[in-house]
Amino acid sequence: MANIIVALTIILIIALSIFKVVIEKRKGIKCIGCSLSGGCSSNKGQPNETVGKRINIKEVK
Amino acid sequence: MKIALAGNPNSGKTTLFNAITGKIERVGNWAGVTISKKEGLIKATINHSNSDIIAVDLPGAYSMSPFTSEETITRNFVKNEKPDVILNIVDATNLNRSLFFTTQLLELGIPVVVALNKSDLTKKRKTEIDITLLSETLGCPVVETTSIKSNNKGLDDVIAKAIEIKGQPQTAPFNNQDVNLRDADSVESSDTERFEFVKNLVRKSENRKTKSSVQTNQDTADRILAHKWFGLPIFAVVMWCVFSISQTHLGPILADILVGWIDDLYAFVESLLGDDVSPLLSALLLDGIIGGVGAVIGFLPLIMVLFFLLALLEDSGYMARVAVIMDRFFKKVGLSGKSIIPMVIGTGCAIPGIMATRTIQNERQRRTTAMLTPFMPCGAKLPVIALFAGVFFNDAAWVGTTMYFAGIALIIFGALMVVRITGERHSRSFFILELPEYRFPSIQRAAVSTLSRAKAFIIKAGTIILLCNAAVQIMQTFNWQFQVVAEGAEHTSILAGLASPFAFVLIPLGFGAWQLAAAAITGFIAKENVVGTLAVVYGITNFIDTEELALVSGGADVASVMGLTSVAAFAYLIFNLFTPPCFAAIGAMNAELEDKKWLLGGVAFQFGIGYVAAFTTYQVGSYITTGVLGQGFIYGLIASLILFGILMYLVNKGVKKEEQKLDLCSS
Repeated sequence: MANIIVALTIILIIALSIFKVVIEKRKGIKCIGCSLSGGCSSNKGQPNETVGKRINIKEVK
Repeated sequence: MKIALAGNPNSGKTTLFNAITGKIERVGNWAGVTISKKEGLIKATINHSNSDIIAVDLPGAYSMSPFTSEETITRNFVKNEKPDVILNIVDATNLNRSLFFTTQLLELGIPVVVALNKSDLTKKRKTEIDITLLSETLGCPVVETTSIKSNNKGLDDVIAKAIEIKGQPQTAPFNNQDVNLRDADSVESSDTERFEFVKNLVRKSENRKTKSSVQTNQDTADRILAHKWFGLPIFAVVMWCVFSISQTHLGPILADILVGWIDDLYAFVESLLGDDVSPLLSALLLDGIIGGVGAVIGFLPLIMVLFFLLALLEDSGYMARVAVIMDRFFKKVGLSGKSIIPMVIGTGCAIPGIMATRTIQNERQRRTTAMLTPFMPCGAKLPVIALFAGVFFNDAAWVGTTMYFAGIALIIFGALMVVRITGERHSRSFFILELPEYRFPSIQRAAVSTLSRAKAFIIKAGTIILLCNAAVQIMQTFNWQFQVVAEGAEHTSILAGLASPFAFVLIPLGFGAWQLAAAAITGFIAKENVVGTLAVVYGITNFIDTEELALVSGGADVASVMGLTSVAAFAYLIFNLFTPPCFAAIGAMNAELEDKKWLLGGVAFQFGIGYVAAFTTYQVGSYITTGVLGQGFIYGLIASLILFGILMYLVNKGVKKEEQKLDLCSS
C-alpha cells in the first residue's frame, strides 16, 4: 500500500511538471523558467533589407 | 481602444508602460532594452473610461526613418496598425533631440499626447519648460509625467487626455512627410528644416539654469569610471565585489537558511516513507526529485543577491559606461560597442541577449555578437559557478569574476577569428551611445526584477530540472535489460552507457568519469541540470551546506568522490560554461543568425573553444601544481591541433578573400 501511495505521489509530481511545461509552451514561452521569456518575441519586425536600403542612401550621400 | 507608447530610446517608455499596466517588463537605464512590442491592459485605477484600453509598448526610435530592425517595429506599428492614440514619451531633459520624432508622429494624422517624462529631473535641475507654449505650438496636449513613481498624478492625466482626444483631428505644426526617402539630398534638407523648427521651439519654451557645457559631477565620475585605462580595472573590481557579496558573504548566509529548510523537508519525507517503501521509489522521490531539485534551489539566494546587485548597477547607469569601456576593445576586433548590450543582457539569460543583437545594423557584427553572446555566463550557469567555487575553492569570489572576464576574453578572441574568417579585417564601425545620467538606483525596481527572476528560477527547477533529475535517477537505477543495477555496479546503468563514450573524449580535460559527462550532457537542456545531475549521480542532497559536506568527509572528499582535483574542477567549470549554451539558446541563435552555415559554425566554434580552453587549463594547471602533465595529454593535444588547424585554414581562406577584394578595389 505504501508503495502505491509513493508511486502515485511521484507520478502526480511528474505529471504536474509536464502539465506546467505543456501550458507554458502553449503560451508560446520558449524556455520555461526564464523571467524574460514571455517578452522574447520571434517577431523579427522587418526584413533587414529595408534597413540596408536606408543605410545605402546615407552611404551614397 | 489602443494606445501606442512611442518615443526615443531610454525615454522611460517601458517604465511608464509598467506603471500604467502593472506589468513587470524588463527596464534598463540605457537605450535599446526593448526590442519588440509588448501589450498590456491599462490598470482600472488609471483608466477612468468605460472600456478596456490596451497599451502597446514600442521599442525606442529616433525617427520615422528607421536604421535598426527594432526602430522599424515602431515605425511599422504606428504607420500600419493605426493605434487610436499615440502616447509620445519625451525625455524632458533632452527636448532638442526628442521633439524631432514628435513632429514626425504628429504628421501621421493619429491623435498624439506628449508625456514630458523625467519631469522630476528637470525640476531638480531647475529647468523651466513652458508647457502651454509647447502644447500650443505642437497642437497636442502635453502632460508632465514621472514614470518611476507609479502613483504619480501625471500618469492619470496623460491617460485621461488620451481618452479625451481619441478621434479628434490634430494639425501637424511641421509637415514634410512627402519627402522622397530614396533621395538623400531631400531627406537631409527635410531633416535640417525639422531640426531648425525643433531648435526654435525649444529655445522659446525651455529655460535651462544648468547649461550642458557646464562640467558637472556626472562628467567627473565619467572621466574616472569610463577612463581609457582605469575603466576596465574598475569594472573588474566592481564585478569582484558583486561576486564577493553574492557568493562569499551575504549569499551563503541566506543559502544556509534555505538549505536548512530543504534538509528538513528531506528528513520529513524520509521519516514518512520509513522502511516499508521500496528503495527504488524512495530513491526516486528523495534523491531524484527532492535531492536533485533541492541542490539547484539551494543556490537561489546566491543568484538572487547577484541579480539584485547587477540590477542596482544597471539602474545606476554604470553598465552603460561599461559599454563605452568595452567599445575600444570591441572595435579593434571588428565588433561594435553596441555588442556589449546583448552581452550584458545575456548575463541574465542568453536568449534575450541573443535577440537584443537586432539593434546592431551591420550584419556581420550582428551575427558575430549573436554567436558569441552565450560565452557570457548566464543566470543558469551561476549555480554551476557557485557549486565549484564553494566546493573546490572555498567560496572564492575570484572564480566567478574570472569566469566573466574569461567570457569577455573568449568573445574578443572569437570576434577576432570571425572578422578574419569573413575577410572583413579592415572594416571599422562607430558606436554612439547616449549615456544615461547616473542616479541612485531604485531598490524597489531591483527587488521586483530579482523576485521575478527568482520566481522564474523556481518554476524552472520545478519543471525542466525536476523532470531531468527524475529521468537521470531512473536511467541510473536500471541497466539496458531494465533490471535494477546492483550497488557498486552503476557503470552498467543506462545513464553510464549513454555517457561513457562522451566521458572517453573528456579524459584529456581531466574529467573522464561518466557521471561528470552525464552532468555536462544534461547541461545542454538547462545549465542548472549540471548541479542537479551531479547531486543525483553522487547522491548528495546539496553542495553548500557544510554539514552535508561533512557527510562525505569534507570538501577534499567531495573532490575525490567526483574524481576531480581542483585544477580538473576548474577545467570542468570552463567546459560547462564555454561550450554551447542550452538548446533553447541555440534555437534563438538559429532564429537570429538566419543562416545554417553561421549556426553550425557558431556551435562548432563554441564546442572547440570550450574543449581547448578546458584542455589547456587542465594540462597547464596540472603541470604547474604537480610537475607532470595530466592524463590523455597526447590525445587532447592532437584534438586541439586539429581544431586549431581547421581554424587557421578558415582564417587563411578569409585573408585571401579579403586580399582579392582589396586587389579588385585598387585595380
